[in-house]
This record gives sequence, C-alpha cells and structure tokens, in this order.
Amino acid sequence: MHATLLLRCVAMALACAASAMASAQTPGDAADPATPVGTAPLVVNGCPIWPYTRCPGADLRHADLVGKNLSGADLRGANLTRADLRGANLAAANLEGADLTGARLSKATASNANFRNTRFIGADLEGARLMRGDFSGAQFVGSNLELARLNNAWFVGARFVANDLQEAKFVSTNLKNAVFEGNVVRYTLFHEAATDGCQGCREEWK
Amino acid sequence: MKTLPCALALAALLTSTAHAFEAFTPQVDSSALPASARTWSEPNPLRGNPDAIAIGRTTFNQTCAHCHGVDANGSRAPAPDLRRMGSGCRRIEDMALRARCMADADAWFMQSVRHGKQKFGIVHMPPWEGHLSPELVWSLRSFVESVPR
Repeated sequence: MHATLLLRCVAMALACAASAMASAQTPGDAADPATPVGTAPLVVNGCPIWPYTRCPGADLRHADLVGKNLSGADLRGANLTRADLRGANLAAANLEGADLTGARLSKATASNANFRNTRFIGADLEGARLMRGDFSGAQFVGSNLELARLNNAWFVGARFVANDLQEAKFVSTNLKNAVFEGNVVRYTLFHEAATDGCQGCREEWK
Repeated sequence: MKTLPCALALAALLTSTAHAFEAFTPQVDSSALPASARTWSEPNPLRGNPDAIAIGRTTFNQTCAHCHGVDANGSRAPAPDLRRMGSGCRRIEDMALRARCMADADAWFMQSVRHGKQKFGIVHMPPWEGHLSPELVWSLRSFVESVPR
C-alpha cells in the first residue's frame, strides 16, 4: 500500500512538473500549421521538417517543432529528448524505437502513428490525439497523459508507471500483457478495452 | 426461418466488403511510357509527362476512384484526398531541398500503393504490387499532382 501511495505521489509530482514546463512558455508565436510555409523550410541537424520526411535515427534533441507538420514522417529511432512538439501533426508518422524523454506533445495530433517500443519518460502528452496508434512495447514513466485521446490504440506489453492518466480515454484499446503501476486513474475511461494478461488492470475498468 | 435471411444478408455483406478491398489489374495501354520509368525508386521519373498524366487518369479512375474520388476529387470521398500530397514542396526555393521534399512525398505515395494500408490486421487499402507496374504507379502520381484542388 505504501509503495503504491509513494508511486502515486511521484506520478502527481512529475505530472505537475510537466504541466508547469508546458505553461512556462507561451505557444503560438512559433506555430506553423502548414510546413513548409516559407521558402526556407526548417532543417534540424540535417533533418528537414516537412510531411513524409525521412529521418530515421535523427538527432532532434531540444528541437523547437511547435505546430510543425510531420505527418507520415519516418522518425524511427530518432532522439527527440526534450523536443517541443506541442500542437504538431504526427499523423501516421513512424516513431518506432524513438526516445521522447521529456518531450512536450501537448495537444499534438499523432493518430494512426507507430510508437512501438518508444520511450515516454517525463513526457507531456496532455490533450494529445493519439487514436489508433500502436504503442506496443512502449514505456510511459512519470508522464502526463491527462485528457489524452487513445481510443482504439494498441498497448500490447506496454508499461505505465507513475503517470497521470486523469481523464485519458483508453476506450477500445488493446492492453494485452500491459503493466499498470502507481498511475493516477481518476475519471480515466477504459471501456471495451482488452485486458488479457494485463498486470495492474482493475476489474472495474472493464 | 428468420435465420436464413439474416445469414444471406451477412454473406452478401461479407462478399461485398471483401470485393471492395480486392486489388485487380486495370485495362490500360502503357506502351507510350518510357522504359526508364520501370523503377520503384523515387523521384517520380514521369513528373509532368503529358502521356503519363493521361494514362494515370485512366488508371486512377479504374483502380483508385472508388475510394479516393473520380478524377482524384477526394473532397467527398471516404479515403484521403491525394491532390495536396507534396504540394508544399513547390514553395521551397532551394532546388536541392525541393527535390528532396518531392522525393519524400513520392516515396510515401509509392510505398502506400505497393504495400497498401493495413493496421492491426485490418486492410484499409490492399497492396497493389503485382497489379500495377512501377510506370503505372508513377503515372498515377503524375496525374494526381496535375489535378487542381
């Protein structure tokens, strides 16, 4: 009981920190909903930022990608540590094996994206649209997923440890062999989720 | 007695669904296309080629229009509107970057047509490799790019 309580406290603290980081900077001034909009597209460490860009293994640490259109991008194994992807479009992008430690994805759109074996450690995913994504084998540790929409996504073998999942929508998700430990699940929706082999999934979630 | 109509309706539904997602070989004469276009590699070797655009239009209306709209007008189609794919690249002044941007969009298009769209075991679009030759796929790409939105 004490261990669970401690994990919940850690989850709340990390989630608060992630929210504070998100509110510390004002989004909007760098918003770029249609990339490339000008005559000189953004290129970060050799990786051009536009739809369908092919940058497997790219170094995008700390990159300012607020509102950028990266739909269909190939970012397999990319290092996106502390990258700022607030409001970005990652629909159908491939981020398999990418590192999103400390990344900010609040209100990002990443529906139908591939996040297999991706690391979300201390990441901010508040209000992100992550429907139909494949998060199998992904790690969520100390991340903020408040209000995130995860409907129809797959989390086979994924790990959720000490996250804020308040009001997140896990409706019709595949949680087979997933692990839930010490998360905040106030008002989280798990309707019609498949929970076979899930560790930490509760009966009342079904 | 009630089960028979239900079973027939279900069978009809399953049959029509399966048929909707089946790839087939279109009836198109592609002899006017250069042999050099028989490659899966981007960039599109037939970009702006008038013959390719005409052949691409015929091919599109036979194979793609059912989901992506007649003459690539996808504004009311169930599948994505393809006309703007890579259109942002045209605004890039740097020619090397513009070519890379177009090649990225071409690669996405080619991969989508060849391998289809399948997610979690559900086939949203069938793979067309084996039914469409590379030059026909590049013709499709050339046609789609040529259609104003």
